[in-house]
Amino acid sequence: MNGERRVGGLWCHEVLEHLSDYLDGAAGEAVQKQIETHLAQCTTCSRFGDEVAAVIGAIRTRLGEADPLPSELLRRVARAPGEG
Amino acid sequence: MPDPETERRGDAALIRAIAAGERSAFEALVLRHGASIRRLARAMTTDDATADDVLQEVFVSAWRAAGTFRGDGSARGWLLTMTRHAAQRTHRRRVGEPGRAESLESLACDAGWGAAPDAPLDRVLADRQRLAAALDALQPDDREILVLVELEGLDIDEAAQTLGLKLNATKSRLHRARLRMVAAARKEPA
Repeated sequence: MNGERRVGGLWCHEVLEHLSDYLDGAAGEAVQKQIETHLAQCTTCSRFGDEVAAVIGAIRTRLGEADPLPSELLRRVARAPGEG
Repeated sequence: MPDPETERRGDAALIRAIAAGERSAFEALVLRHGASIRRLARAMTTDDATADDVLQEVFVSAWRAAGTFRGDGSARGWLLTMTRHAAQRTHRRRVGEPGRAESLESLACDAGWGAAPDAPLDRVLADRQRLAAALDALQPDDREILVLVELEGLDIDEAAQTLGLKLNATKSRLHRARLRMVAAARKEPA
């Protein structure tokens, strides 16, 4: 990435590497803090992190509920094996 | 369809009842998990008809294997793992298909990392159909992990177990799939 910066002890590409873990709160305490510091001062990474988080959030909220099975398919599958 | 009392039973109780040949328990299990199973099957295959065959195969297998369910993992995980295996058998990946080895930075650039701000994704993200189209445009491996983690809500350990992958490989696959999903959303008309 052009204009890569080292902020909060991390380069932009290092933030990218840990971004999913960070968004899941699973990067480990020290790395979470470093990334928070980086994002507070790097608008490029901050904007990208917000977009990834927004996409994840949209998948969960907009697509979270599976379409119900069509009734004919439900009847076919729910007929226990061995039934005619 | 099953009576309300059967529908209230937990998954493990339903599977024990299925092992004893109780048909209403089987119906309740299909009713409870069928839509999720079909969604994962659809993510891993190319068309609805194949996904429906996988769905049927999974529940036939569940009926036959109910007596072997040990209950040390979740029933949903058991069914999702069977779904993966059935989908892989039905829709075998092409032998010799090259693995995708794009660098993380290259994937991120496709997703807009480091680019000047352009059209925001808000309108795409607010539109269920376009979001579904973006998900559908991904490769099966990416769809599979996004369905398991983001839609079925498996934690990363459960996803690793279902996928038969090590934890770090699962995390890496999820991260890459998310970046590809951002890139796919970006390609949807604003």
